Amino acid sequence: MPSKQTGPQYPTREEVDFVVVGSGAAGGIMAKELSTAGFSVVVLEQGPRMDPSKFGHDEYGNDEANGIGMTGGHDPQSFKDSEDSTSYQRDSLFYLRTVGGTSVHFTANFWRFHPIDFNERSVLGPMSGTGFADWPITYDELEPYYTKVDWEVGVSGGPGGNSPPRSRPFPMPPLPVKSSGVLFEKGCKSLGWSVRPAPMAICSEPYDGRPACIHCGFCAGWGCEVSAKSSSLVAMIPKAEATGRCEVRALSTASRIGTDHTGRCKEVLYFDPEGVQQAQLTKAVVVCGNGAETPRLLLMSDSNLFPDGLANSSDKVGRYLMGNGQVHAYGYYEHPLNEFKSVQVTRISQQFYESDPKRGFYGGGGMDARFQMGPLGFGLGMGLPPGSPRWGGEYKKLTGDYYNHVIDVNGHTTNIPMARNRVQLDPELKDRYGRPAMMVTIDEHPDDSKAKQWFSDRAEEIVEASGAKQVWSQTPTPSRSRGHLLGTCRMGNDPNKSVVDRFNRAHDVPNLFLADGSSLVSSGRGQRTMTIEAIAFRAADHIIQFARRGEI
Amino acid sequence: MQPKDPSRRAFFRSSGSILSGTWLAYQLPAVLAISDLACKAQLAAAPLKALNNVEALELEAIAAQIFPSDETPGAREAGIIYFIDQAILNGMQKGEEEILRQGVLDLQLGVGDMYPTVGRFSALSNEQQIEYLRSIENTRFFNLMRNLTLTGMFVHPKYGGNRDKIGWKHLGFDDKYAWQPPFGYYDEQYVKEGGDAK
Repeated sequence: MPSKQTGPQYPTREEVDFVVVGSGAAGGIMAKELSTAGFSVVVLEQGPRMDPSKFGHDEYGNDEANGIGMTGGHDPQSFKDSEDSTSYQRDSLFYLRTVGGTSVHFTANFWRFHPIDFNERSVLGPMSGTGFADWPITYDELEPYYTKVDWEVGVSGGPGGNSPPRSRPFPMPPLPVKSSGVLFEKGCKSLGWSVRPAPMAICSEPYDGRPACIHCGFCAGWGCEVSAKSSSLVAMIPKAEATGRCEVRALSTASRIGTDHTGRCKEVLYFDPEGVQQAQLTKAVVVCGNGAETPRLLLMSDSNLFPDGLANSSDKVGRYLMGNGQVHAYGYYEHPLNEFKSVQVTRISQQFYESDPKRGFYGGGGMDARFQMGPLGFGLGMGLPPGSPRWGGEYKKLTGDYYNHVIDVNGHTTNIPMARNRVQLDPELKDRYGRPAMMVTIDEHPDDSKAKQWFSDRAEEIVEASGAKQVWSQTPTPSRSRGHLLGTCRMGNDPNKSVVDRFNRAHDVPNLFLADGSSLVSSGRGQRTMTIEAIAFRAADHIIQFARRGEI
Repeated sequence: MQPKDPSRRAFFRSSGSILSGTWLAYQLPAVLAISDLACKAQLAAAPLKALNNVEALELEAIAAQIFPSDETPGAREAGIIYFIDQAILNGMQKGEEEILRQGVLDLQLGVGDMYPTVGRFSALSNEQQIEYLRSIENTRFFNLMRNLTLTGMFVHPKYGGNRDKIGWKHLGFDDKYAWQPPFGYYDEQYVKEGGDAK
């Protein structure tokens, strides 16, 4: 697995075919697809390039989560908890800044969206005061690209209850079930609820030149030291570079997309590793920043032709910021589970995927069983039932008794798109390059909290039904942070109501494409990366066709 | 304003905040900012460099109440005082060293008030120590000591705490980082009873 940059080095003042901004889940795919199709590609990645073979398990100095994953310091953010409140400095949007992006340290849950995620507005009717809308594409249109993710990126899994339709089986069988999965399955079955093996972007057997998972237990928040986790860093970027047409520039922070007098993109300005401003000339630009960085870059690219930001005639750039709810119910069991071993999730249930008006609120979700606490996190007391002592002999006893005996059943829920929830540019706060900081507003719809509470109750029922000796949960609260960054440059047919068209081309700029979490019209039920990657494959397919036909 | 060294470390230093992946169920304590410098620490039997004798005695007594030694080893055996010493030496977060040192002074005053004949926390009986700590358990000083003690208990031993992996052994965490099924009791039973191992 090449860990260093290989491939060409393009002069900045000679035009390449494409600049791709971002090298994460979407950017890695875009780079690989475009370069494989014969185009010259420069990828700009603001973070450093890490060597997968050096990923470790040190919770204290966890580079992949503790260091470059953070926004604080060199790239501050400001926050508002409602439209009318005053902003203050606080980080609320989180993602990994490195070649491969957040896919390097994701948990690797690779659920597909279901058909309902694409046409829910038509099925359920309008929801006043919200941005609840259908997608311009259907599940069936995206299905071939989900399959492409399965096979080209590498996903393991198995069939089972409430799976969305698929045209081809998983390329790899599911990962071996853990005790948490067995207990979760037992709980679901005794309640009469569907359950199936978790689809994971982790190799269960050697695949595509990468080894099978060695079950080290450190996926969520960690890079995979054997490259069994199908991140863009190991699954896509090396293939892009192997074409000889893709140059990945690490530590290169995009600051502006430059346009010509006709309003077409002509270059991407960025700060190079020395902090010197550069500008790469290009025929077209594909922004795969994520739901935070993509709208930010467009807003920073305002000009006389685009006074409110590039591609923002709709005023939708940065709006409808969504994440996903995540709630927890915990169980304590008699026998040791040793959950510190192997991948975080082995069983899921999508019994309650769809919203049901009878519940009195909008919201659906999926559930899984997991335990993702390292010894340090647990030792600090973050896995014990509420009311537990915080220190002393009894505390010591509890930590020893509970560490290997606890599971965490999660509910992952919908997040309603609201125009008020958005990424803007802070008028004063700047990052180290002088770029405007992101100013983020998160003020969730009340139904999001109701959905979280409802799924928390279901999660508790699973834990109880699975034979736990003790059950406890956290009371869900409205979320003020996002690790899933969705919806901020939404896809749609109407240029007044959306930023990109059904092919991910900006309505306002013919040679600008946006493909990442920002394209999503709805939030799905908790696990969005599979859909981000399918959208990237689909967008790439169309971009390649447009380019070959001279339509860019 | 620009970092001259574009290495990853430059990123870490300029970030100066705590772990914040929102999908993680927990946040590490603020004291973790010391991390990359402390990693060189190999402390067994090394002399203390930042703490004076009185401070070391008092802080170790507190650590030993937070994570006591009973039938199994605790904070003393795990070398927590060396971990704290290194933490100070390598630069804690702003204000934390002061909280710690001032905390020892306050501790002695407070103990002197409550137990005029003793004057020193470490000289109190076990019951008295617990009683006293309960009276200060919501202070920044105590919470910092709790964070330091527990971090030192469960951190990778290369940082100077968790000596002989005492903390990990206590939890039942095994740092082999390569496993094959069965992983735990229930998946083993599941397969024995004819369940599909996948």
